[in-house]
Amino acid sequence: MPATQQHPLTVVAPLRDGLGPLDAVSASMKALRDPVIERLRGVKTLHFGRFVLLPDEPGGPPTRLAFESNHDGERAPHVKELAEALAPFEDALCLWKDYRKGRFADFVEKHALPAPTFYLGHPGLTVEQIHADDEVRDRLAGLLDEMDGADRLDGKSAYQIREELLAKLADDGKPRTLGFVDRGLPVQPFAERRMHLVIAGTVLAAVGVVPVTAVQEIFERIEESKPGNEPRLIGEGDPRLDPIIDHEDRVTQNGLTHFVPLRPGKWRKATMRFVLWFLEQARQKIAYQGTLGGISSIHFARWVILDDDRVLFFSNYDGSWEAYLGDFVDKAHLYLSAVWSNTKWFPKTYGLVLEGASKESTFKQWVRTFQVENQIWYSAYPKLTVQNVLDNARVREGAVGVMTEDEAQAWLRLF
Amino acid sequence: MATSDLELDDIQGILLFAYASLAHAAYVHVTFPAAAGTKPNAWLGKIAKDIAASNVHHGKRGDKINVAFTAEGLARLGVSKKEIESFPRELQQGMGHDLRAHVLGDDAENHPDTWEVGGPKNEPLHALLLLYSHEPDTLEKLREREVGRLSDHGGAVVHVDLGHVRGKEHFGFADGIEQPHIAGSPRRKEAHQVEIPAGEFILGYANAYGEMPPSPRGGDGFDIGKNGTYLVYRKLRQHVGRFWEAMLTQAEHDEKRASLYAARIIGRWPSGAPLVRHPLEDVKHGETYDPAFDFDKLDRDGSRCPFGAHIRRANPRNMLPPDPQASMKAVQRHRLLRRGRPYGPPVAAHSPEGRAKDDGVDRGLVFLVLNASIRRQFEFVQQTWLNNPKFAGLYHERDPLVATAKDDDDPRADLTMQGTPVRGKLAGLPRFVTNRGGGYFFLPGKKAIAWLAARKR
Repeated sequence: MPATQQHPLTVVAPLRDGLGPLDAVSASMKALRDPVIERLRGVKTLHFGRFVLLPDEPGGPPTRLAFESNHDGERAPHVKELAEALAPFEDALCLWKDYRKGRFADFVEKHALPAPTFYLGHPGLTVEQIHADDEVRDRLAGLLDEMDGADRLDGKSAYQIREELLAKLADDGKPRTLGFVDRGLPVQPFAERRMHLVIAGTVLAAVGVVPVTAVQEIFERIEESKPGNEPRLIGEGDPRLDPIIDHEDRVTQNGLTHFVPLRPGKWRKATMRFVLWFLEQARQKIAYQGTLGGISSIHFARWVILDDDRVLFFSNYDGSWEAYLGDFVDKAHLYLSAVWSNTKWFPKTYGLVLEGASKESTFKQWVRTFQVENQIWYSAYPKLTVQNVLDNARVREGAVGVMTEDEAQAWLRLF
Repeated sequence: MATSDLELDDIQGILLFAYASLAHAAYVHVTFPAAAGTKPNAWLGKIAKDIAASNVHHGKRGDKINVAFTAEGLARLGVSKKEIESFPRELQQGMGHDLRAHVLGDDAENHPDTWEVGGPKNEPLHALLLLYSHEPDTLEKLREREVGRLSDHGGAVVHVDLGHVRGKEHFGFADGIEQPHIAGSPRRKEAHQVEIPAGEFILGYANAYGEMPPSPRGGDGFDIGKNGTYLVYRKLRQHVGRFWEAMLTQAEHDEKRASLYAARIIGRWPSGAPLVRHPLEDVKHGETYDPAFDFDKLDRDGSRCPFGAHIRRANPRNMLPPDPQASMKAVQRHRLLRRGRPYGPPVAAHSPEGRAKDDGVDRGLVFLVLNASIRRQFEFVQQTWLNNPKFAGLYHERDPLVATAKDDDDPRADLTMQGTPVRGKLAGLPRFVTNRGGGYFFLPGKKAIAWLAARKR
């Protein structure tokens, strides 16, 4: 079967007028959370999705509603599925100014935005495949526990244990697709292209982007030192964070939405576009297996630039906010600084990449300042980490054919 | 940091010393009722000169007193609402708050509503007096004196725990082996110890990010946090009989196997010898072991020390992705300074069979940790490593020794023991530890103590 790719869908559009303060609108959306999630479960192509009200100012009244999804295959069939699923909620969708009932696909067509950078933690695995792999792994783990409990593992080699497990699995009589499934991944890393890419990027950066940005930074710092212009990062105990923090870390996964204006000036926008383009190239050619600078806990993430020079970031990740941001600071601060130092109030950065996101407490405060609460957030597999998904796939791949003792031992280590 | 620029005369002694030579400790939990006539500031002013700093030799036999305050305690001392808001959110909410309980996995029988101290159903907790002495009777005298001074000023004792250093904790294992060395500390650094920037444990110094994190401030600009730290107190009851009973059941009453399983749950043998170096049996009595060990070099597949074992979770060292160096660097940002001690009488028996008999006595560990960031250090270790069912790529396993949390829809508690040709598993383990209460406290520097004592209410 040919590989199915995953794609981002981002829809951002203005709210209709006269809706009132954030609290009321947010509450009415959140009241729909459970029924919407129930309906979204029926969208077979949907990995993660969310509805978020976006304010112009942090903590201010909402002006836009965003919808994000990460889906299998082409957009049109996915949008068709979404339209069907969201049919009972047409009234709520009319929160969007331009929305006309029954015209979901047209609305999406009109307001969908491209994502210059789209990161995937387990590319090429569809929702269906992820669920199927989890079932296979779970069943095999259960069979292994049974064998263990009946002392049927003693004295056997890994080869024998695997043979017996696969025989028992077949005895289920359940139709399962086992073995290799094409994920559409490049067969081998593009070593040469990688080198060229890195060299090209570094040269461009060194010669062009970095020095000019460094100068730009100096001007910006002068501006910010004027009274009234200092960054106003949110304080520790600010109650605005309560609804966000209240909902975090309830399950294995979390969704982060971050919305911040670009720093003024054409140079900043251009630099942002360049960095996002560069990261996307690097992602496609080098990090296609999915480790964003060594962080292996992100399922899907993207940056989107809006027309009025604002930057939207959506991430679906494993573990706590604290662990996730900590990982960013520890492992990916250069990349983050390169992207986000182009935006408002980002911690002081030098030459586009230095300092910035490596200043842990200031960086986390900055993220919180521009973090937005998700009214509705959906995951098709809330109990699986990226590692679980990839390990499940390896179990399924190794569940056919003959293996050497060494290979069988490696396969059994997945349990 | 080459030479010490730590202000030892301002830093309370418990930060730099564990007072191991003062084997007996009393942890006195204090409240100052809201009634008129209670004078917490005067009390603090009175005891201030007796509070031990770090510039006194730790080997002395003399008694030591240290003190810490909850956010409510700071309010009783006259710290304003705005000033308290400059303290971290975790301290403001307190360990008994719903959100903190959620982060820490304190649910069911560990829920703050069931606590003996510091919970919403207990009397308000304002201060913690830490008293250390050489003998039980000298400790008793010290306690009497301090409680006397306390009640002279309207304070009352709501709870006391007595800690006693004995070398081993109640399950029978050596404890507190791996402690970080604070850069600039006057103490001697062991070869295998890792040196951690002072700011990870003491406010007012650069932390592991080279940053000076924001410090709580007074309205008058006074740096309240300087030379202080945050103290986490958890009274962890240990069910010793249940633990050894479970080990014997898993091992079908083979005592040697039961001991091996217990060691695998912890990651060390009773002597402290790490499984990574001694995978099958403990060192002989009297023999020493090499305290330094390397997960990546010696046990990458977990067949010596299970991935889910307690010491791996509490300090993963170089085993985390993406690579050993990045792991060491990241882990150093989540280190804890442990100052706790066992409480309650030890179990008399030494064999697994002997220890499996439950005598119903209340014993356990007064778990006490000092760190400059409750969220990035203590809570992070608890939430992201100990209580995380997904730690190390696992599917559904929490720390088998100390994890408290459970999922209602999947309450399994297993330990997978990685191995060749196939893994072993300790399935359906009960919980061995119950959290009986405690709190988050601010442990001020001596200048801050003077500032607090001088507050007007």
